[in-house]
Amino acid sequence: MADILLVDDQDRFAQLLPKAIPEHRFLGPARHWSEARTLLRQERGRIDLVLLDVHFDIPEEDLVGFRDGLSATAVEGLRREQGLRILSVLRREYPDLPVIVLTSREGPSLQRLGADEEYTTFLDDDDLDAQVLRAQIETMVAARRGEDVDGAVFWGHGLSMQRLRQRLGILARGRLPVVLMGPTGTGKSLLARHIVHARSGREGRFVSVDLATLPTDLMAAHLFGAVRGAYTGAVGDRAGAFEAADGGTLFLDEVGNLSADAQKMLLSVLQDGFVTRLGDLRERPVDVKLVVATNEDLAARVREGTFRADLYMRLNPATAVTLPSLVERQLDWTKLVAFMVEQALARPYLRDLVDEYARGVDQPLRRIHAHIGSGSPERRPRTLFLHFPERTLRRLRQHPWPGNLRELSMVVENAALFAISEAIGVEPGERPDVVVVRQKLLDDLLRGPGNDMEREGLRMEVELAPQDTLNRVAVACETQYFTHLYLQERGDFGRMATWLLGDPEAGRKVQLRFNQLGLKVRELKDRL
Amino acid sequence: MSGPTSNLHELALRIAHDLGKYATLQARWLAPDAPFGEQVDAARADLLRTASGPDGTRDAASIAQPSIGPLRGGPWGADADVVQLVDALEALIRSVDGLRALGASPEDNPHHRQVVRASFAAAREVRAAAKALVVRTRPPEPDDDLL
Repeated sequence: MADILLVDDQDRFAQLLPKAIPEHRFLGPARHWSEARTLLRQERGRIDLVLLDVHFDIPEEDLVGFRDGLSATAVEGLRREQGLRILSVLRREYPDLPVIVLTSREGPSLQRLGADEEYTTFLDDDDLDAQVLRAQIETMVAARRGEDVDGAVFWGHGLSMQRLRQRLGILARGRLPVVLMGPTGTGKSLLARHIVHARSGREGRFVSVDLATLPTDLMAAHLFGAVRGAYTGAVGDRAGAFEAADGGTLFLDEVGNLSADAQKMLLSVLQDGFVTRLGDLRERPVDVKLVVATNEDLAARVREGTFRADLYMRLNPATAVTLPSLVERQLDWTKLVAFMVEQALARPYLRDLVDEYARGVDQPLRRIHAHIGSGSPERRPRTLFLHFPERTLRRLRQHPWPGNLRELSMVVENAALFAISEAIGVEPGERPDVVVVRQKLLDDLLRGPGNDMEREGLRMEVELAPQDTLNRVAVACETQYFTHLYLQERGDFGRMATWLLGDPEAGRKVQLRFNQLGLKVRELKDRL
Repeated sequence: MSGPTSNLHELALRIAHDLGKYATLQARWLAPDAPFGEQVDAARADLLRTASGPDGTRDAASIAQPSIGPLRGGPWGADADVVQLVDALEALIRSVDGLRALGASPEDNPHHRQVVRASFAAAREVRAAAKALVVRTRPPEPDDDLL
């Protein structure tokens, strides 16, 4: 049974749903956002899903986005698309709460609704009946209730990642190769080891080979083995990675780097199930689950003639799994960062550092937990909290993460290292059991020499309400952008100018525009 | 977009939402072989308690009636789609009367089944006619180049 909050100004769905889908508990209806928020807070995380209507015929004072001076037409527009306003607020406050929007083709177009949202499904009124709604509810609730962490892998509650997880579980049990695609740092080797191998039911070893780091002339010997004298320097017989992984899983990372010879030999192993060491005549049977990974377009490589078409087809490309980049995933960052922190804090050198800190503040701190978001953590016996305040978390979310999860993992580990190290030897405050990771530290870590790529752009969320003119919309947008930038650069107009104009000397120009927008330094300084 | 077409669009949207959606809601969730009692319940919920909220309950006739004047009396009064929608609204109003006339405990007889079927059909007709008019009068999506 799932707990489902209905947000609808009418009673009709509320009357119909418990009869049509009695296996779930329906709460509400909440007539407007304020009621919905109250119910969400009262239920404290027990709500599994929100069913949201779009058109709300409610008093204007209850409308999200209403303000004095709006024309009657604008207010009517707000009513007609109120569900989308509510969705926007829901997404900010409850980023991973599944929402089904009950829309209609007569209403706003699906494109404008952003129909590809990870945790949002738009059900067209025309297609809606108990069966369709029940199936959708069950899919989304199952995804939400699935464990979001699987050993070393963080899946989150996103539907697409849950589907990907399910798909990999199925592919793991089969005999055919698995192709993992996706940008660097998205966790391909982690999935190969912790999901495909772990769920394959195979008792043999997991062997990983990074083909990007193997010299081309040694690749074949490394993979398939060699006998003494097969090549210069082959002073004895040796088994290759295939034999080492017999009965288990062989993971070939960056498979696009396979040499022409190795491609041919790999094809032969896949076809016949035998491996022949270089220089040997004897065929040895091998039973290996092959997982290959690449961030290249192998099909394009086949068209170019640099990757064998017959090998490509043998790799089972039809079931290739593509991992999204970090910014493409609609993540619950609070949980992700907590997960990364816990992983980092398991490293012995960080535990040693925590012990040193504990001795310095004379506290018996044995356990370490991440505390993410606003407020202070509640004291727990012998527990040190590494606290990432909301502002620090926001900084993490805004980073473009070109190195994806790998980069995030390193930044979080560095943040833990620096925050704890800098706290050692400092006079403890009221809460010696809390070490805070400040935004400034993240600014420094994310602006390091390795992170010049961030200069490609700045990500931020803009909140807009309807305005009388497009110019006012643009000004509202620019005002938020300047405010955001001012806070991020801690009031340094030169650095703002670097972002905006690529010229650190243009700070005066930026300040003039800042004043024109009606922004006040003395007001914003309080927020620094 | 402004002017008569825009007003007609607004009007059609309103009917599509208030009647097209809610006057057909429960009927669309009925199983094809639903017993007569369930059909009657659905028809009554859809047409006699069409709008139900904190301000009380309204039937489909009281929602449909105020739209007929602006549709018929507007500059679009002779438009074929508008005429079709007005006809559908009037048929829906008659269906509401027919449903009420069935009394508290309708019998599963051919006449009563016909009344219920006719009410479903009338509501579907309003839904289809309103949707057609909404689509025809819909203003174009904003062009990105203009923003």
